Amino acid sequence: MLKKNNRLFFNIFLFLLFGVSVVFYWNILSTVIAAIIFAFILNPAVSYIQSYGVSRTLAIIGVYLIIFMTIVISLIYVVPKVITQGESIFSFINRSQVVQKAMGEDKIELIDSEGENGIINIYLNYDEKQEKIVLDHEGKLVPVEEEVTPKSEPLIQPEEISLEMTYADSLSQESIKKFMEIPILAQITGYIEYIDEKITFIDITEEIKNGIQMLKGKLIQVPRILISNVSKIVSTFAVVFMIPFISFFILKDKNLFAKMFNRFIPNKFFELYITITQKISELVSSFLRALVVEIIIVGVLTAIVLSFIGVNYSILIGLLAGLANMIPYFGPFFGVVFAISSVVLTGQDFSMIIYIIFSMWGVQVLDNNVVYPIVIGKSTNIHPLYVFLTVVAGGYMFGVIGMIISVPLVYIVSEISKELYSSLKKYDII
Amino acid sequence: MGRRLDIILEFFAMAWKWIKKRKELFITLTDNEKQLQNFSVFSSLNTLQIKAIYGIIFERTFASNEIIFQIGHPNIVMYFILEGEVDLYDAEDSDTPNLVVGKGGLVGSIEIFTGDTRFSTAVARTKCKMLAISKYDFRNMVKNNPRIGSKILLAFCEKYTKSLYTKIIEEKENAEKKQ
Repeated sequence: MLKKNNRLFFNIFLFLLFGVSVVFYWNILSTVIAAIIFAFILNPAVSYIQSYGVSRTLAIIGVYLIIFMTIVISLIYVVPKVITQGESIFSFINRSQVVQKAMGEDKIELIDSEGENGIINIYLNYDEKQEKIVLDHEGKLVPVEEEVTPKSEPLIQPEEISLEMTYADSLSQESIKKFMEIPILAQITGYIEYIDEKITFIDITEEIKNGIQMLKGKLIQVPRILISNVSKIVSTFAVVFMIPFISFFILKDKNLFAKMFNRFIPNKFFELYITITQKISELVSSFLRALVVEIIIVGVLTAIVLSFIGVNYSILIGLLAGLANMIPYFGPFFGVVFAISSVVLTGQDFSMIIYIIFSMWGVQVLDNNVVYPIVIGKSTNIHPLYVFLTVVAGGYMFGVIGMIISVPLVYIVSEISKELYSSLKKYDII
Repeated sequence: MGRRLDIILEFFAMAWKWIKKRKELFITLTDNEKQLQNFSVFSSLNTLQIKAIYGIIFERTFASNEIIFQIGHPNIVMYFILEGEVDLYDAEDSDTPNLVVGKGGLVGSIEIFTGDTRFSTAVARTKCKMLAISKYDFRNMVKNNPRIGSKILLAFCEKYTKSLYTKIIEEKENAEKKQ
């Protein structure tokens, strides 16, 4: 009896300890969940490398290196293009909104209808009263550059920034001079100067000087940007660094964590617990794997197809279409809408819309009939109407995230319930 | 050129083997891991492989007379007996055990390979300390670590061949005695 009481007290103590731990670690819970998801995605790749006789730690390091290389390559080749396209499209949308804003309500400056310049002034950035456009008597919009308010900053930053010569600059120039005295570099500089002299229309030296000047201008801004955004940088760095760090240990010691949890499972339910956790692990990892592979394949295919057609911002639209594809039924539709919007907004040939619809349909056919069966291996066998209703319900509850996770979540829960029911029957528990 | 390459590759293979051996010398096993080496199916594994196998093993303790698994139930786990004795019953209503397995023995292993439901009921005769391996982890281990997998599977084959051989001899002897 005494032993039973002691056990009860100890269990209460454990429960309280668990509660305190939850409160203590609450703030990093989302990071830990992200790390678990990341580990789930990487686990098959790690196991695959491990099957070649490599230790698990080395296999994890190998997978991390592959991811790192992929990120570096994308940062060099793809991300700059996506950022440029993104900036360009955002600037475009921003301008259009301002024009609409200026055209509506009382934000149009009416001037003398008999004046020389025109009848209406429209400001592209109304609040700053800059980039003025005048609607002339013929109904044409004419930009008036000279009337930009001097206080306001221009929308496009000048690439060259004039810099004053400081003591630090003179020191750096001295060191550059010394650096340039190295025989090989001196020889290369000589060659460049020689080419400059011979080919008059190419001014390489000047170009290089301009380039260095521009780089200097950008580098000088770095500390200012770092200081002004220090909290954001630290938190981003913490998340970016913490997720792979935690995932590393989850991947390496996943059995250790499983062992820790297993201790609390009574012998009667031990085998049942193993069956259910195995089922959850299988379902979740296959779903996450499929999600990542589908995003990449649909994104890349869409970007390629749209590039062939000649749609502007094809890489950005490809990326968005890949991400939107996570939402069943609605996702592919969003991809088409992005592509058509690009054509309409940038004033491209409207006949492209037909090509876009057909090509995006082709990508979907390929995704549904080739990619999905290979990645998932089998169909989820959920009725389309049920999928549709689940997506809508998920959207109502949690927005876009709800639309993405509702179907797999419902599928996983229903499969686990089925497995649980059949296992409970098999073990004569119910 | 080909010969030189062969010599270089051979040298690297030898160096790798040497490094591996050295590495093993520096790895020490815990008491629980050492106990694993006492089981015939794991006796051929080196220290690194024992560490890997121990990663997928769960320790379970059963009280005296507690049911470990029941006939007709799904086969998910096989148990290695560290301490205590286990009674195995072929039929549910049987009072006397068909087999008593003690320290160093394993129960529920054949079902792991056949994939059938349990064909015996295991009950702890005394308080038992067991090591459990789930069939999912075991199959993953065999698949992902072919070297460990081949050693364990070979050991299982030897074990079952021996027991089958012993059974045949016993039956032969019994038949001779009857004659």
